[in-house]
Amino acid sequence: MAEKKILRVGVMGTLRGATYVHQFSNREDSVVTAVCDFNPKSLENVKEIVEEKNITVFDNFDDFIESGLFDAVMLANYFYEHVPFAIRAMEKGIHVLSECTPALTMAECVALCRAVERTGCKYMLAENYPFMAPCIDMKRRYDTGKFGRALYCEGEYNHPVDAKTKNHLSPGKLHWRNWLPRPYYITHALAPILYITGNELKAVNCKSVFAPGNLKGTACMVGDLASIIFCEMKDGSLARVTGCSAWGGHGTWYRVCAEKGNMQCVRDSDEVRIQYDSWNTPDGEETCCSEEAKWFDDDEKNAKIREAGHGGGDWWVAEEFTKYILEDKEPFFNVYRSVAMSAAAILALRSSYNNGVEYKVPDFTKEEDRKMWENDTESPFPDENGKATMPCCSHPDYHPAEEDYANAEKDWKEKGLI
Amino acid sequence: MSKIAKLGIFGLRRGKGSINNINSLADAEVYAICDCDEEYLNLASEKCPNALKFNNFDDFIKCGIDGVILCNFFHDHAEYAIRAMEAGVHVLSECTAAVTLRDCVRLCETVERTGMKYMLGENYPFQAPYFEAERLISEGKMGQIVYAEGEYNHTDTREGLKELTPTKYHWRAWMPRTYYSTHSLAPLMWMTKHEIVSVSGHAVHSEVNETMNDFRHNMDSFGMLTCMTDKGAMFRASGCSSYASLSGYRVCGENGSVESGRTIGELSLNVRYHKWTTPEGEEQNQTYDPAWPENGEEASKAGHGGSDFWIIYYFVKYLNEDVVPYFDVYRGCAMSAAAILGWRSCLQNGRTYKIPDFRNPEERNKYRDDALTPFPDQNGEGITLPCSTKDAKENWKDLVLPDYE
Repeated sequence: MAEKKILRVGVMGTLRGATYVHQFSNREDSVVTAVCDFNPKSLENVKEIVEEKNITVFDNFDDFIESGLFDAVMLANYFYEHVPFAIRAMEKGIHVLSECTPALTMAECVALCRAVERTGCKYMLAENYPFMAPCIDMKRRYDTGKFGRALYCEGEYNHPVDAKTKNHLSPGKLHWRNWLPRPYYITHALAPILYITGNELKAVNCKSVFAPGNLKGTACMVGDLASIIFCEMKDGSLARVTGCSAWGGHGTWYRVCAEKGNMQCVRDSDEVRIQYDSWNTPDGEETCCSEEAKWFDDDEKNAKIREAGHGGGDWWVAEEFTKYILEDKEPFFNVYRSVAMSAAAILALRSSYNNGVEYKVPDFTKEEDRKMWENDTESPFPDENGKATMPCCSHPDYHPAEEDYANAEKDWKEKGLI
Repeated sequence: MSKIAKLGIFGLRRGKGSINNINSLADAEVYAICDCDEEYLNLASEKCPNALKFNNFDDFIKCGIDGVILCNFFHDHAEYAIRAMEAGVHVLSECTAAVTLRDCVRLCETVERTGMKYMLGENYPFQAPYFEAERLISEGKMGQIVYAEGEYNHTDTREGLKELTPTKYHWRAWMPRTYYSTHSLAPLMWMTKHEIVSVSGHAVHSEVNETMNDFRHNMDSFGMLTCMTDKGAMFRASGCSSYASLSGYRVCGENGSVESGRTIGELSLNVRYHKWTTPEGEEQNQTYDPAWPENGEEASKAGHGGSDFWIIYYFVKYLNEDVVPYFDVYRGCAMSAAAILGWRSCLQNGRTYKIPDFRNPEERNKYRDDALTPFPDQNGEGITLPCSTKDAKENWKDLVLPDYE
């Protein structure tokens, strides 16, 4: 009898990564052998499971990646550090599951694709929102063809936080969250639309709305409250996505409007509302109804999935990645689709600075497209001296006042973050 | 005794719906009606037997009415509004105000020169949920408005659309999707009191609509408009779209959001706040059916969710009491310009156009001669713009549009 394959996983970053330490530890076909974090406070998040499962702990990436303890690494490090760490891992023959966003610059998008091809390692983006029950439900329905071709879609990730929470999540003037342009956190809004429809990005236009009122008392350099991105798809359809917006009323919503009908999340529920034109309603279906979305008919299994973070999405990411490595089942969010989303975010920001002008999203499977962008390292994130090569806000002169910084520092100190 | 406004209705297919709304007011009467179609004229006359009947505009406009309700063809409103005002008659014009930038300029200048009153008969803002939303927004509960969206979806069967498009050169056969923009855009303007200052657009071709190209040539599914406002917010408006969905409106502020339609229901309003911005005594997230602020009995009997009552009500108030309505000629023309320039943006990868400030006489000069139109005359002549993205790609490759940079 063939020996059952078990995937050995190392998790880099144990703040966000803690959930994946649990996810990969709880599966029968994977095991977490190592974790790494330079911050002892973050390691506290996984203390119990580390002891229980005898997981090796590292406080630096060099030793961690050289340890030989794992076949695949889950990168849950800082938002702006994914690509260098992913490339280093793949150069060592280690497969990569990367948290969002895949890449911060156009040059990184190119480098990541080339590294995957050069090393032959597997890369998957840990984008979890497409796997929430309503999104999977909509994908199943869309794939039946009953709705016809998607014409207009919406993806919305609206995540407002109060000033104190913002400060606790963004400790330090140079912390990436204080410099994160609204379009850059695009994957939670865009990925579900790509996943449901199977469409690919062709071009983006974007505009931003400046409204810094709720940022009083924070060190945030981004005074925009929303950036609205219009994505033209290769099949000619259009999607309106938010990046990460912060207007009143937290939520994530998705909608697919097609030739014969539309479906959309019902706000504040796991329901999907389905509506056909009366004359296009398929036999045996209602013209208009709302139904609770479920992954499986097995309620016990659904409940277990739901226990994982982000509406069950984290369970699905672990599932997809493990199947990719062990069974070679190609995931939807491979390196090309992933960096296309990063490119959409990067170019959307530039569009917002250029009166909404359209930018073509490169086809990263093509070397001629890559050549055009391989040296583009423009970034809105600061170096250690606080210098960035492009603005992070539609009002480039915007910055917090001294009293805002003072309040932020108070919050950081109170929480023991600095 | 208070003044009674003597009103005339021009175009009775749509216009007959106004008769009951006028009859419900003590200070207005249907004085005359006009249509070249005898059947429509007779049907309307049953509801207002004392009204004078006309089958031509020239006699009708001189018959002694104070104001005319223009319910004629979509692309003819500006021309007849100008003729009415030149004849000393105030105007309530159905949507859209004008279909060329030149006519936007002419319309504004006619209002100023003649001193006549002009109001756009855009009804969609005046439904119960939007009155309530307007109240909440004006009280500042939503904080600074950052984003709003308005959708007017109107699909139909081939047979239904054919009935609405009875002749080869009927305006509905040639109307680009962005041109029918007021139902999606006006509620956002009214609820927020923001002015639109720039526009860009994206249109998407529909194979289903293409199957109707034998009688309707606007084959796009929608022409999505993005308008930036004078207060820095962004509006997304669908024009008239043809994907199956409930129409809906939503306004998002830094402290809270309001929404109606779509999954909420057309009579209901959802109001949601951040936990930390929820006003004292209110729920963080609630959905309810708002009542009319006033005139509920009359409004609830009127068409288009009661909104048809309100445009008559506001017009009569304008005529009798000089209460200036929100949709005056400048805002009416701004919406038309958004539709016109939004369509040109659709043809140019979503480039941004400034919306002219028609209040500014100097600015009008740039647009004074721009008579580009997708609509044919009655002989099928005079088309100077494509009406669909497919038409543009196939037949208008050499089209050069004014830059207006």
